[in-house]
Amino acid sequence: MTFIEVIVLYCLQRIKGERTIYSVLHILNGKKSAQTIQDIHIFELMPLFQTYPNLSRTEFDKIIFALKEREWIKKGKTIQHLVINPKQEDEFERLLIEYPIPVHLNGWKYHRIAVGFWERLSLSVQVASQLAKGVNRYMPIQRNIVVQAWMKQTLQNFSGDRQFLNEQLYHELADCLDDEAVLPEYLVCRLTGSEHIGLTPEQAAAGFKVDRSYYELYFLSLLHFMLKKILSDKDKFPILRQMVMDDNTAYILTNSTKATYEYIQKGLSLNEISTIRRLKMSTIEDHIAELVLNIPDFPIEEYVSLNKMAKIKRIAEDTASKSLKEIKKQLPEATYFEIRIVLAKLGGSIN
Amino acid sequence: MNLERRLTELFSLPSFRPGQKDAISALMQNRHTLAMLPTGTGKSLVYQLPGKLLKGTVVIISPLLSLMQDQVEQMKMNGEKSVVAINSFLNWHERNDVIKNIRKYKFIFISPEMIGTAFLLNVLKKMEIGLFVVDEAHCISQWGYDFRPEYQNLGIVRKELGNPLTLALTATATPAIRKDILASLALDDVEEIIYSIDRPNIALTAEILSSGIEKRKRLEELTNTLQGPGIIYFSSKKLAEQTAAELKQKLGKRINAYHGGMSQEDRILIQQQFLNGQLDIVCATSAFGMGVNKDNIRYVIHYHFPTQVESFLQEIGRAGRDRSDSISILLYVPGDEKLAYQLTETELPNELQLNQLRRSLLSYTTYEDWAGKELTWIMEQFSETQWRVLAAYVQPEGKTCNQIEARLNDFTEFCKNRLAVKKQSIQDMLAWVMLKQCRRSYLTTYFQETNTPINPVCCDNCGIDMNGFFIEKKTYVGKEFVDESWKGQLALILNKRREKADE
Repeated sequence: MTFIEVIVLYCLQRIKGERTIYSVLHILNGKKSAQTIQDIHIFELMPLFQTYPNLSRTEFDKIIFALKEREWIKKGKTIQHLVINPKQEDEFERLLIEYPIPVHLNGWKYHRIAVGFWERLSLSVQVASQLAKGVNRYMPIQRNIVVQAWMKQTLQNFSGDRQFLNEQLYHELADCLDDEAVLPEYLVCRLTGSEHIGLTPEQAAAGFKVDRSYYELYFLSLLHFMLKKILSDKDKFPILRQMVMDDNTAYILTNSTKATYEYIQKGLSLNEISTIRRLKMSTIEDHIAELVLNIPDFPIEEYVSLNKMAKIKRIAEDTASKSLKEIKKQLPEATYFEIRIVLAKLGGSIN
Repeated sequence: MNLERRLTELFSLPSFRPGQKDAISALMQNRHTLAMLPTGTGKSLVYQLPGKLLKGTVVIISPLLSLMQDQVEQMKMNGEKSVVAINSFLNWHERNDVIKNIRKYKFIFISPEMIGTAFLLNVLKKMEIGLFVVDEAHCISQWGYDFRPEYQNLGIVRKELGNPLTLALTATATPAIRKDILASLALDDVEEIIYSIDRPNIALTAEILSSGIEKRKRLEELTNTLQGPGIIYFSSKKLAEQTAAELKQKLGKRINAYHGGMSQEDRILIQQQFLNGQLDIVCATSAFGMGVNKDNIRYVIHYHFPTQVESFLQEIGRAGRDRSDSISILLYVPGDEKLAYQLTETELPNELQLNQLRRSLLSYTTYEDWAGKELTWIMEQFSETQWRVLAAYVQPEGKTCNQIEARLNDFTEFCKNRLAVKKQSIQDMLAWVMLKQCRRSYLTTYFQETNTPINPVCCDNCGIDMNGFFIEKKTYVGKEFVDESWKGQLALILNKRREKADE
């Protein structure tokens, strides 16, 4: 069994047949649609957001097919709603112990900065290694001109002796990675220095004798682990800190939602915003759902009565269902919009 | 002017390689120059050195994006800061930035489709162009094996830029193609610096095997016993990948695949590992090689059938740049050329596809009307390569449907001719494989060279001793990593000074 199959199974187990299988693909790809963002919150799949950005639909279909063939999953309410085979639930629990999902993985929180952090880190290591040797003719392993420009600027601003950048970087990295909970080898083998070129993910996976999807997810979780540590103790890692891109947007919002949010803060009603922005009401409602998901204290009392909120909550808990349709069936007087934002507000807290 | 001294001053190189000095001297005398230098002689120096000495900007037209990136990085690596590439890798914003500061750059690499735009041409017109370089100039000739429709307009571009001093560079062009290059670029009074395509230190062999299984067995045998580093060329990405994995497992050697389907980061790493001696063998598609300046490649094996003599020469030319003995081995199973024929036929649009396009044009009058309704589905009827060639040839934008129709008729004729050229190329290559006489003489005759090469280590038909090419020494020179702890590895990578506490 490949690790990505375990991950897909895990997602399917979480969504309990209440979404189509492709909602899982969207989560792993990191699609930034209101629906996907809502799904990762409702089904507590935030850590897995954008963990396999390059997974194609064809590859995904193959995984689904393989899981079906081996009877890990079976048909739910439609052929696109697959659920985990109840007979295999125990076996799957055992599998999750054998192949645990990396604890430090936090796709939703770090997906925008992890790749950039890696590009900067790998280039910095190469540059520092070469500087220590006094070499200035070599091929940079990162071609992205934005990353190269950042490197140039960072070196210009570096107050110490550039020749010793490697020593500082060594100590920060050794310190940051020294933790029993992680495997630093997974990262170190990828780094390039003056005498040694780093491995590709494929080569690294082969070296550690694990499958590639397993290696990639653990590598990513290692980056997330580092980001968390670096950001929580800013003074401790001055060089590594500079490799983390500034993230000025406090909340992760799509541009259109941001615009709607500004009107809401000015006190406009949803109807007024819909008119001013010439957007359909349903679009504005999507924005509200996104706001509820991303801004922890976003008030929803204005859009749904406390009474209805309590009812929706109870039904969701009783039936352990997060399907809008199911709740609507039991509470016809609530609108889909109301149900959506209540579920969004509850996020992972029901179960 | 003492060019050798300038070479040492500017590039820290002790001496010129064959042909470099002649071409540079001609340019320094303000003569348009066509230089055909054998692969591996450092063609880029021919414009870099004069570029440094001449007034004005050097504009270099280069056909392949990845090659362009490699060249830019290499020049930067060698200390040239004022170099930039303008191509589709840059987004709109970055491109504007570059163009705003364009006078800062001494060397500007431009893709052929980009220089054809009126906007960029107007920018360049206002500048002083010291040297106009057309790299891989054989791409300009319709009769060449590697024709690029985007190269067609370069003659007009040159004229628009006021006939600047021009250098056309190629490694492999027959006299007919050289003539075509000069005509297409509208160059009169040209100094032609022509060197033999022969690389005397590369032995040439071809082995005919009875089946695919035999071929695979032979490949294993060769890669197991030949002195590396080596490159094995494949026509498909999948086959390159599969073979790399199999050989690695069976032989325990350090082998990796390289092809255009890999991420840029991975491709850089594999290339650098190979250069650094961390890999013995690369199983590659034709995407690998250009810009890989590795001196000590000892063998090149062709596992597929090359579609033309020219690309075959380019690929084997990556061996033996240090001028030590090296070998090229082509493995052939009767029928291998069929795949080459098939590939060739799908590269260009066929009659059926073109008729479909014609029919869709009938009910419209202008390109704009037509494109709004029909373009999307019509494009789906063509492969990406097919459409690229068609669009570059027909240039439908702004034309009326009648005009497009007329262009399409020319294009149909053009496709027929191209197909004939390509089929002939395959036949020429096949004849080389089947040859009973000297393989080296065939190649020089193909390029209509008059001097017959005489080589001590020539080809299988003249008789060579393979023993000289078998393993003598290990290629790996880097530090051994695996035994170290992760901190030890990190310290090695970062060249950290050793402290007692670390040991």
